Amino acid sequence: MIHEHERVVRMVAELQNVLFSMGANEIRSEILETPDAFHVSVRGNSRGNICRQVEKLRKLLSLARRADMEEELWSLAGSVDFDTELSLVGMMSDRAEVRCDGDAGVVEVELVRKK
Amino acid sequence: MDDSGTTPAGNRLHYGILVSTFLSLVLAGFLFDTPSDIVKGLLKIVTDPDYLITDYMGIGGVGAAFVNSGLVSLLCIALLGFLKVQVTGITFAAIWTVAGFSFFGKNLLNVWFIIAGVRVYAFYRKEPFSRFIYSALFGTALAPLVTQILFGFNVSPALKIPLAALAGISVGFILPPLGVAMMRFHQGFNLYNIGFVSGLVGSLVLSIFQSYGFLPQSRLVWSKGHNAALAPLFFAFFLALFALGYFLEGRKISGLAAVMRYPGRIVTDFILLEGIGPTLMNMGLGGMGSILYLLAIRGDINGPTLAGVFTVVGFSAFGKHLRNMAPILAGVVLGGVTKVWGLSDPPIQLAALFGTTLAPVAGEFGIFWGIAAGFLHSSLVLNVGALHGGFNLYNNGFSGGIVAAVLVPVIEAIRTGREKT
Repeated sequence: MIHEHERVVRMVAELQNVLFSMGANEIRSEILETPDAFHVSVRGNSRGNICRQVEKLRKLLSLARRADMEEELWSLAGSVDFDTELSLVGMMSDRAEVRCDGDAGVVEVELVRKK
Repeated sequence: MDDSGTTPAGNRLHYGILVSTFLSLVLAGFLFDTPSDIVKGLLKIVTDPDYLITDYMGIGGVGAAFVNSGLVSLLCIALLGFLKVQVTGITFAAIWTVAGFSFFGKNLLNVWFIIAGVRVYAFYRKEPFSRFIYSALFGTALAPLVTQILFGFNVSPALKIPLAALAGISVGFILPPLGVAMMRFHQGFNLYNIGFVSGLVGSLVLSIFQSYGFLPQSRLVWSKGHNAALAPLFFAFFLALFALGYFLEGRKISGLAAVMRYPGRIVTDFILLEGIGPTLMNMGLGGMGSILYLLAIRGDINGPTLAGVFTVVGFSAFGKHLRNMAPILAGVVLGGVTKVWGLSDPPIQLAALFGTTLAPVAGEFGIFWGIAAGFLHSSLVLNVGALHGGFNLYNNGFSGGIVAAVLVPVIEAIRTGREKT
């Protein structure tokens, strides 16, 4: 697969955009590449309890991996900051986990993308 | 039952809907012509140069055009099944687009060269063909390139047959990487991305042809007089599609309201997001609305406009709905009132239907900008066809890509400016 690293970078950018749109002003991202997969973690703070908004995030990121759609559309991930491509990021991931701690004001997304 | 297509049962249902739709199109062809006339018509269709605008109903008759469209679609569905592709909204969009353009430009002969080119690309990249299947299906926009060389060039068959195959396969080979790169150009606001890519490739190919003395000719094969038979037939069909969705959704229309809340920018796969029921209802509405629009402007229901209607229906599973399409249509109608052409002129009938490629502009930025996009598109689309000489069947996708690429950054800048004041 070509542009593998660029695809992962775009997935992270998309998640960062989403967290900004949810009010975060401090975002930390980590990418770990192993021989089999990329492990992505993006964590942002929130102003107030935004855990209600996280359901949509969870639904879209939980879409099954779709190599056919990814191949056609991956370059759109992270491309704009006024709309989301979360469903695309979901289709580019094999596993997604979204955690929200309303009291601590933290949203964290973890993705696994197999090679 | 999860009907998003992520389960085997859901996927089988989606395949069943596609197969029964296009099988019924084949059978409907026999309502219009005898089997022998259909065979003769199909032979005329596959030996035609096909470049824009070539109405297969005018070339081979209504029955042959129906059978051509149905068979090409069924073969593409068989290819999807062979590759074990999961059927969702983008799949419906691709198959309905192929079906529509098989009324004017794609046929049982010319689409396979482009598809083979994409297959060669997958082989070259050592990746499964299924990854690039949508580039292959949408990429058949350039199929007239093959038939133009085969049947439009006055050179020896020993030269033109390998040349046609080479041209088709070469174009198919370069489409997948170009599709990814060009998506960034319009940021997903032009739903017919491969139409934009095909416009660029077609322009390049035409330039090479012209360097060797080939002069493109304008063409308009546009049949008339089918409205009385085709309008009720297709209106009833789209009503049935709506009804099927309604029943699959448990006789509720709330899902349809949810569909209409999406801006529609790529990637908005309604089957994945809202399920098959609301998607089919939305597709039915898109089809009925398109037929009513054509009747309202005293347009013609024929091969090219049915391609427009089918494309609206297909993309109503992948981004379009009445709310985001209406402002685009309004922009084209506004152009009809103020510009030098009329709404029933053939290219403008097509511009209105295919111009809904820009529906996400209205969905994202509102009615005013949707009207502006339709207004601009209706002028630009009349001029870009000359660049590719009619080789790119998705001429409106080419124009739509340019309009979106110019308009969206301007809108963003204006909106951002307003936010700061």
